[in-house]
Amino acid sequence: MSLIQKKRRVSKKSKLSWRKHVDITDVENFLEEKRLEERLGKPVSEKTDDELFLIDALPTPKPKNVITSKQKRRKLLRESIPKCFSILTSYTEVADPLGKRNHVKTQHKSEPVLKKKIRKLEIKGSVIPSLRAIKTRRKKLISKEKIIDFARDAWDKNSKDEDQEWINDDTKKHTLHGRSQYRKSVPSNVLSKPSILPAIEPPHPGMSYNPNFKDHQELMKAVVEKEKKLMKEELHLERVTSGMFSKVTVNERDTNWLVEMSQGLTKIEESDHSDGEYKSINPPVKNKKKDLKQRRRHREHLKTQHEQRLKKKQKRKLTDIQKINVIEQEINKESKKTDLIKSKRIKKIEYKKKEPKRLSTRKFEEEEIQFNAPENISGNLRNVVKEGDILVDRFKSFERRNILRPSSKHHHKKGKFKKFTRPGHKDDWKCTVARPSGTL
Amino acid sequence: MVAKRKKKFTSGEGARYITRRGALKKLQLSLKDFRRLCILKGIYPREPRNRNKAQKGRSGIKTLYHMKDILFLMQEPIIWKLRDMKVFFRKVQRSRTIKEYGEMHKLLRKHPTLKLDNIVKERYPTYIDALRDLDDCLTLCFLFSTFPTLEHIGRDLFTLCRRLTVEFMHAVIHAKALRKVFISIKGYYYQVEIKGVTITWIVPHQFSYQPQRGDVDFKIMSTFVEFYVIMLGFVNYRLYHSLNLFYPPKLSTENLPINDKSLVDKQALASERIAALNLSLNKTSEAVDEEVQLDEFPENSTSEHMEEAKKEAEKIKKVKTLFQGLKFFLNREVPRESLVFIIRCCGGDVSWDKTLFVGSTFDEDDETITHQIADRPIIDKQYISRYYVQPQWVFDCINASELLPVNKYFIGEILPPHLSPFVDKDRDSYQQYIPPEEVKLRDPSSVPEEDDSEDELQINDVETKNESGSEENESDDDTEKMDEEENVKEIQTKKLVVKPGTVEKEDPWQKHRLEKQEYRLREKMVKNKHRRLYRSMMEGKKKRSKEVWLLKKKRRVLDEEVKTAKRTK
Repeated sequence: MSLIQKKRRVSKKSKLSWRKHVDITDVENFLEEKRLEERLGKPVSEKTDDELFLIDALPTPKPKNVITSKQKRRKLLRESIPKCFSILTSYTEVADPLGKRNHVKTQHKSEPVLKKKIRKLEIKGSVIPSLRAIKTRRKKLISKEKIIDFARDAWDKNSKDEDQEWINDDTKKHTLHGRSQYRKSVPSNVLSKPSILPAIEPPHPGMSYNPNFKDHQELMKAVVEKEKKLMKEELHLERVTSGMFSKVTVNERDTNWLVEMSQGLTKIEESDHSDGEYKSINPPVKNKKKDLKQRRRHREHLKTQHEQRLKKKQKRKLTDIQKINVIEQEINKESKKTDLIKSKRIKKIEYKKKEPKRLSTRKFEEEEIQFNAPENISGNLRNVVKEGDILVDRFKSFERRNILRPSSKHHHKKGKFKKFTRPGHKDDWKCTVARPSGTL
Repeated sequence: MVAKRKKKFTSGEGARYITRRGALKKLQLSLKDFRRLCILKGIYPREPRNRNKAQKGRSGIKTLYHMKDILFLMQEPIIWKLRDMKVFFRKVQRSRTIKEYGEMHKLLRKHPTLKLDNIVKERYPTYIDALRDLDDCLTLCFLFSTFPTLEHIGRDLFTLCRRLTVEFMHAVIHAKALRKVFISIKGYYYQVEIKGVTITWIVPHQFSYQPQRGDVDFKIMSTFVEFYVIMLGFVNYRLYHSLNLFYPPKLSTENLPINDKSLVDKQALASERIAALNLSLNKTSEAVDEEVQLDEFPENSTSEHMEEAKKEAEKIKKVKTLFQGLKFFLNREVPRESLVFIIRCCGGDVSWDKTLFVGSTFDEDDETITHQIADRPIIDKQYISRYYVQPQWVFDCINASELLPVNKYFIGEILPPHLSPFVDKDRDSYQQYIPPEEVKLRDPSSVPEEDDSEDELQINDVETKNESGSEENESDDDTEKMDEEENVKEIQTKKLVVKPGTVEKEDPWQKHRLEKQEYRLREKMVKNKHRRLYRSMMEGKKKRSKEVWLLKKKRRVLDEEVKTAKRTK
């Protein structure tokens, strides 16, 4: 039996597979040896006698003091390669085993825009503007302020816009309608405000930088009341949510679980098997018919009932005439009640006008009341402590006046990126079948 | 043949409303563009009467728009511009990602802009309508004018805001339209009256830029400003023309101080001077303002109302010329812009330190200055010829529509409270407490003036007399001197008095009492959990001490008995 193993064919198509399946340790070892030799010299066994030994015939000459002029030294220095570039030169004389390496090209090797432009112009043979000139021109373009022209009366009736023609608006609308180009006039709510509230609400006198004691106290009281309300709400929420559930210890939980899970495992011996006969929970329904007698009686009963009702009605009519006063009182009572309800409703509508409308799922939340704490009131303009942000104030005011819908700023979450290394940059080829340890 | 069945929500309230998502689909716009369009055109979401029907039976609360509004938006030419912009930004983005910066800059130079001129006319059919909605506009523009360059928003919006607000302030100065001012912790409140429309706005305090917090969508607010800027521009144009001023504002070269003319950039020079608010603008024609005369009605028609109206008119007239002939000098620590604005609105002359800001007209050593406004307790070099007052005086004077006595506002003095003029007048003294300061502010004649204030007024008189006193007779001079001395004495006795001190007696029990009280308070702080324990502890202590006391007493009694027994022996 010959133990000649068939050579496994492997793909060497890509760089990665090439690296994976070709064992180059011998080449690497050889090169490493060469480098070592370069550093330490030939091994002693290979060296000749002349190289190893030296016949000392003359006395050692004194080391000459090499004196060069400063300029010479400078010149030498200038000509020599600077030390900082030493990293760029190859550190070994051992030749590269590959005669020709492929030049790796990155995808976009962008050139600075200006240089590119200049090169293009050079090719064209046109006059090249100086770099500075281009830069200044660009700066000028950027810094040039947009000047908006307001020098005309927007509300002048006599002025005609370019797009306005000699026909008036109604005619235009009419003709366009005929050509099924419908024009909508400005909706009425664009011209009116969506809320009756003023844009700038009068400030609370306690918000003065140097307030009256009483005003300031009032403001503080309002703040405290608001805070108390919030705290109460919080307490309530705590009580009806997490406070509602009783807590159990871990042991209790486990025993409960055991009891629950073992339900029905042990058979409960039922004692009352008296008859051994089947009994359903719901007895079967029987459609019992009435007999003639019963039917007659039912009919008669209905009839008498009806008659009685009629009689009662008749009697009511008679008595009502005598009870006019009472009825009048009742009517008065009723009308008073409706009046009250009406006035309440009017009040409610009035109140609702001042309240923000419900425009989105989010409810409008009022802005916090701004106030200076007593220790922050300095009493002079120089040391005034500013409170509140006008931007927030305006934003909330827009929300309150139904111009914006109540919303919170949406924070976009950035999507997660899946990262992977390019095939050429992978390190896993080091560890292969041929080279299980992964060391080069 | 049965008639075709009517589908639900095809008529009535169900067909009248459309959700935001539906509107986006109908207009074929992104949410961002839709928001912008709505703000620019003044279309707001609506609350339906019957939400269930309006939402076509869908649950939840949706943002609804009126169908008519959306159809109105649909014909707006700006929509096409917005769609073009979308394409434009895609191109810019593309050139940026492939690093074709030249291409990108070329594109950005042709950045499309929305033309909003006709929208102003559409939303505000008349000039008065625009004036009525100027509160938001001014507040936001004044706020944005303080912002630095921010990400995504160019500097030019902020500079434009600054320019327009300054122009507006100039117009107010010329019209003398200022009515009320108030310094709150939020900012300065101003109220002006133009064409019978009261406009109120807030200006933030100096250096008040705060980096925006998360809860406000800055983009939305800047869209508002984008529209308001255009509106304010046209309002300014109209306002300037009604005041016979050139628009854009011009400064005559005569007004400029001579040494300033040598500056290189003439445009920058002019815009800086205008921003200083201190020089009056050129007029197109020297027309004298007509004084509004109140019509006289027959006496039977609500004479009280007439009286009130007359009073108001009188007050306004007073405010307009409140600081006429007075010269103010601002120290560098006071807020310059707001003070210059309000003083000039009331006809005063203002200046400040040359190095503080351009546009100062006279120096500190000018002897004709009547008031110097300072906000620090002590000033080293003081001139006799002027009052040194704190800035609140100016604000309070305008609110009271008269020149208040200066003595309460001198530097280093503790100021009287700064009261808000924005309180409703329906408040009366029977239902609500009104502080006497406020009563006085409203109607100075109603409250009898206090003694010291009268005295001080006298002093003022004396001082003013003293300045012009050199021409008067000797005899008068003598009496005056006497008077003056008395007055001075009075002030001194009132202000600084040295009295012989009295030795304060200490109550021997006071300390003990206080300690006991504190102890009791501390006892109250004991937690409920430990209260019983504490009580039992204290009881035990008491019991033990009682036992000790009892034993001691017994012993004492015994000892005494023994003693007496000895004596008897």
